[in-house]
Amino acid sequence: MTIIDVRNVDFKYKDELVLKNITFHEDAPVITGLWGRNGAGKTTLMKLLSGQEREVSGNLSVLGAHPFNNSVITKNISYLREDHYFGKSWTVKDALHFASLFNENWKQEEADALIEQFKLPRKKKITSFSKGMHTMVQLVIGLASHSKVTIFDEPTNGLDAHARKQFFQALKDSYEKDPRYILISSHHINEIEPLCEKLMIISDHIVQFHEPIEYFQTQGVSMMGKIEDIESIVDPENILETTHMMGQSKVMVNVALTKELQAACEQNNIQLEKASMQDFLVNITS
Amino acid sequence: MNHLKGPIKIIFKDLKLQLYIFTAITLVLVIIYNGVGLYVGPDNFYPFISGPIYGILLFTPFFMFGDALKSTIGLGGTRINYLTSLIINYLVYIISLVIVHNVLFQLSELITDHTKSTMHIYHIASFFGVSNAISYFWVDMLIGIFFVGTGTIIAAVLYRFGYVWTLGITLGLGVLGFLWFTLGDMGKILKWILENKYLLLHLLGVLGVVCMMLTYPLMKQVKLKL
Repeated sequence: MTIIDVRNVDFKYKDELVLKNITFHEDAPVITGLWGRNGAGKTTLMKLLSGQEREVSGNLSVLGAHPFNNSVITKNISYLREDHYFGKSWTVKDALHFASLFNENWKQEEADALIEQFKLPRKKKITSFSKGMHTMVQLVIGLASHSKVTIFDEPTNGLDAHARKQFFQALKDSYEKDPRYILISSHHINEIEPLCEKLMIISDHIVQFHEPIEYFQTQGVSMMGKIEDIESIVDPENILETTHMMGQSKVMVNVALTKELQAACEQNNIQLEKASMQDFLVNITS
Repeated sequence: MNHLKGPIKIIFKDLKLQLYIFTAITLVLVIIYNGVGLYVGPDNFYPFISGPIYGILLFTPFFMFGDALKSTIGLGGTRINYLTSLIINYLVYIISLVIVHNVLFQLSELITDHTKSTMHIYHIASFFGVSNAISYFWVDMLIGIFFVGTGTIIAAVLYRFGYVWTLGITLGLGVLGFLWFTLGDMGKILKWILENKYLLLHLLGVLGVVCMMLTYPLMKQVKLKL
């Protein structure tokens, strides 16, 4: 069954084009990372997928239907914003109760276990919580919803290292028991990389890449040596960034790290290493 | 109906608190007025207890496109579900407040009849020439529907078009109304109103229902201010 089918979708806020001709497709449950620079259109895409907003043009289908104003579909979609809104007088208990009414596959036992794990006080008002605790409530709802499409926007904001580890483990466990489409938006790609099977990159309001994570794990290398030697091995058009120091050049290149490339670099006395994914993404979207 | 359970409960959590607060305020007013009627005994003492309840019925809609809407949409509710749940909640809210108002009114009348109290609470229903308890309840219902309906449409226009546009539209309508009032012949209309007060009240009730229904096309595709 098609989980997500987005074709030629545009979205505007007043006259400002936020998403342009977005097209992608997903048939199978998968954990996908969503990366893009500020203002690229990530949040808008997540709002469209969750049915919170409607596209200006194009076709968008989630779980076989358009999600906007469609409560049959939105019962199977959870979108947890970065600073998710809870009522001012809501306690954790209220938030979980209300969330259970909106989600068809809600798992109360999982919610209870996560509340215990994160040590969240059930009767305390969420407005009195720290940023990290507020985030934890969102994560509990996102995981316990078991929605067929679950979207997390910056899920680790405000969490300490221990809580992050707990969340990633809980996410893995929950996904293994019940595979579903999970989209995680994060600026910190290194953090979500071990979880993701796919990565979507939004840049300049378009989906620039939507590839298996392995593509990004091999693509992008750093080379250090004489620039003439480097340019004899790689196409100069693929060079993303160049810095010069003491007669040597350090470049980042948009090519895959292959055995052939390693051999060529050895022959030309060029130091070669895999570029960090974060740096590579920053450069290809610059 | 199952789709409405979440939004209905979220909205009711907000409205329940207001219901308790304004029941308490009205009760305090009734106690004070009864005390004055019993122990001071002024002549021609006709106090009015409807103010807080009418006031909150008029102003509640201005808060209903805030917290509750954001929470509902955030958890996966839709705009249409929210509006339907809002109307169901409004109905329960109006009926509850009108019951509180009329029970306290009738209780006060009972106290006055059986004591030396000089106090008679003024109920706006007497202005419309009706006299029995059910008619009193019905008059309050119509006023409640009119207040909530008009409040809701104004709040929806504010949400959809923003303050600048709404104030512009209001100013334009105000100028037109003023010109009509000063240059036009108001005599016939005023005469008709005075002769058909009870009918006018029903027309205002219908207007309230129409206003509530008009919030659907205004809000069902509105861009969220989250």
